[in-house]
Amino acid sequence: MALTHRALWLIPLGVVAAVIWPSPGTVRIWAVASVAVLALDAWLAPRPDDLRVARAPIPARRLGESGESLLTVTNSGGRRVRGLLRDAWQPSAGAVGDRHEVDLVPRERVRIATRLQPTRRGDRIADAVTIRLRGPLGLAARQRSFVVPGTLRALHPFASRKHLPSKLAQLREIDGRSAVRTRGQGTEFDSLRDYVEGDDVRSIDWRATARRQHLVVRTWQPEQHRRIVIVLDSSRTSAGRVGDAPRLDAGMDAALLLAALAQHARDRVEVVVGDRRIRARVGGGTRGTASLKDIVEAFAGVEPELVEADWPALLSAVSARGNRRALVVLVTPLESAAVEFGLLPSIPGLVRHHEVVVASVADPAVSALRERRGDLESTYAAAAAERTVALRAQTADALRRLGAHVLDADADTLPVELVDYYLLLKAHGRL
Amino acid sequence: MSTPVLERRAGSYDAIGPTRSAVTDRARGILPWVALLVLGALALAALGARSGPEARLLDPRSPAPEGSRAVSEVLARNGVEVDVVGTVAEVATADLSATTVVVTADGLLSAERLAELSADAVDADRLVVLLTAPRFVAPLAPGLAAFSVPDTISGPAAGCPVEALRPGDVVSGASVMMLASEGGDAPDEGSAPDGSAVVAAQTCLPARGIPDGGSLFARLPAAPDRPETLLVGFSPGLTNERITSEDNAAVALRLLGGSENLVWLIPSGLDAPSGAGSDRVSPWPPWATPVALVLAGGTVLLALVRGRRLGRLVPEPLPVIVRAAETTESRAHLYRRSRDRARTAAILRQGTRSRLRRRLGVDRTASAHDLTTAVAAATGEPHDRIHRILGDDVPATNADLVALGSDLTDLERKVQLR
Repeated sequence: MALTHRALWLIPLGVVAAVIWPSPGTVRIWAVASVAVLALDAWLAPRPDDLRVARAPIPARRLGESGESLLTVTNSGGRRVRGLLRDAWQPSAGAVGDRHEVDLVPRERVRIATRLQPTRRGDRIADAVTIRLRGPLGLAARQRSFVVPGTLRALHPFASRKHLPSKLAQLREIDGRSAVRTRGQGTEFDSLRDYVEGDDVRSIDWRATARRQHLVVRTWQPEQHRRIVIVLDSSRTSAGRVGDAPRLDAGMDAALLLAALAQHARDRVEVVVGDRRIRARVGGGTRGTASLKDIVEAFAGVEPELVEADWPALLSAVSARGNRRALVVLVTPLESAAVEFGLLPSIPGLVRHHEVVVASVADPAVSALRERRGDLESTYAAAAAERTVALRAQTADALRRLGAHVLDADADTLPVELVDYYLLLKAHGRL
Repeated sequence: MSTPVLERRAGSYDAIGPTRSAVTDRARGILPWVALLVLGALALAALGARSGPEARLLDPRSPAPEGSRAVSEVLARNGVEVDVVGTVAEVATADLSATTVVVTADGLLSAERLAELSADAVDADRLVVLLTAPRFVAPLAPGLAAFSVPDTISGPAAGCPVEALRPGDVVSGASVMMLASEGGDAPDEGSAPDGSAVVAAQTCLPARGIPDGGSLFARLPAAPDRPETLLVGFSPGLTNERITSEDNAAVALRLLGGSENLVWLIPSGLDAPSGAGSDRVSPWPPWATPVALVLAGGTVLLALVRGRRLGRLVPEPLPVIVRAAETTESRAHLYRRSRDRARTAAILRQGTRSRLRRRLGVDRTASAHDLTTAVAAATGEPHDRIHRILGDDVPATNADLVALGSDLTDLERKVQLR
């Protein structure tokens, strides 16, 4: 039971009656009549249960794109129904205009669309569908809520994919598919081909040249099917917000660009996300490489947790699949305390078998704080920022001394720096 | 299309609080109604305001035009102790020796209570009754007939029985006229003993422009059951607004200032005429109460209309929100609170030194002197100034620290611009 705004017209009606016949009896009659009319109207209203509601599955969207929640409403009762329908979603699903006027004759079916613009990554869940059907006078209504399950998956926006074309071009240069070739790019023997002007004379294969009577050069290609393990730290330090998104999202951006590029280079990518326990894991094992789609799907449900990372457990996930040499990328913020107690003890063992890169998202706010001087407050703030930077540098130095490569860059540049380092390793055959 | 799922959700009628968009939606919908209510309230208030102040006519505390604070202030300044009371009972319990009791006889005082007051105030020097309506005269002086008169100026006083009214005095603000009920015209100064009553009233101060020529003032001499009683038929003349016109001020001060103490009774309503006997006209129209009841019911209706949500509230599983720079900012607050200039300066210098080293290619193991020399060469600044900036002097004041911070950034900028 619910009342509509039209019910408020009973008030001026009562006022006019009270002015014409000013006595307490008038008020009593008005009150009783109002209650009776409202109750009757509500009783005569059609039952919301007579509507059948179905929801169409919603395809996943990248964060920033908008989706549409489609409800199909059928009037299976024998009367015309008029009223309101609300398709409620979590606030972060960004439902715009979730209230809809419905007016259905018997057997009529209508599609109701609510635009969704998710504001956060992850699964956005639909809540109840509420139907309010008005009585014949439109003063009162029957109302009920139903659960019509629905989910909109908001995927990581993968903003760094804009860098992919240029990095793929760089990869092809190394790969041998490009016209420009130099010796030393890649170490795996690929094929023999005729010498063309401009080729490095050092790559001439003299034995083959002797056999064929004209100059033949060896071509090389970068190693393929190398193992790349990306470990993303989803612990408390990755919950810190840089700009609008947590550090974890910036790390995911870097991981996605590397994974996309590595797939084109035919390397096998594994991704592990976790803190105290493993939250998502894609690729590796018999299935081989993880596709970009799998990784994005796996990332969708992961949020930073306020717990400390358990690095030995996370890294055991790397060695569990054999100690075959791999490029291990650890995406974690360089917070001195967390790294020194958690990560640092595990690094020596890891470096012995693998090429280790530690990628950290720096905070531009700290750099801005460091450069602003001029009054007492900003001077103290600058000193604090200077101290933060120094501590990060110390932590990075400690990691470097242990043999890991450290990247510390802003969220925008980290994916590029990480991929550049990967290309460098590939070009030098160090994978 | 998937199969329809249609089941009732337990607790779907529960709600905790509106979402922000719902609040704005609601506010938008409810605004016209709120405006209507406010307008209605304003209209009622205006209606009430028109009739409101009448009740507080001749209040010695009120500076309003209808009040009489002017008179009471002047009396107080001249050494008369002015005491304002609200009920007849208070007058009865007060010590009334050397006291004039004055009562504003308005709609909140019943005639019976006035008669009681007269008996209670028997110890007082005199009782002054400021008449606002004729009905108060009969219980005190059955021999006098009283009538309302239009607000005019009185004729000149002549041969009055009291000191307060001197020959030739003229007052304004006539409201009640009295005359001997025997039908005798021309009430003279001589006592006119009344056949039916023991009360002998002396009247004076003719009302002007009335054919029968009643009086605006009457005196009842003291008796065993009452003090000397003065009936004032020109009470509007004692208000703040009109006290200065004609001889009102002089007459009022002489009337009320005759004793050391003055007890002024402003009926608070406890002595009001009861129910049917009241001649007090309600300022509210007859439909006011029913309309108010309808509006009260309407408020409930409005609450019911607005109170039902279209479906329950949807909770948001909130993520952890921590700004990454928060620890740095907290550290800045710590430095600031401890006012550790030495450490702050050292940290700032260390940062600049390490960047300059990198920039100028000075080895990490090289001495501070080598770095100073290299910076001096790069910037062209004097050697000792750079030594002072990059050295280990602790800034003595906050201003020095701020200056050091700026100097360090300047130095870095110069090296970069080289």
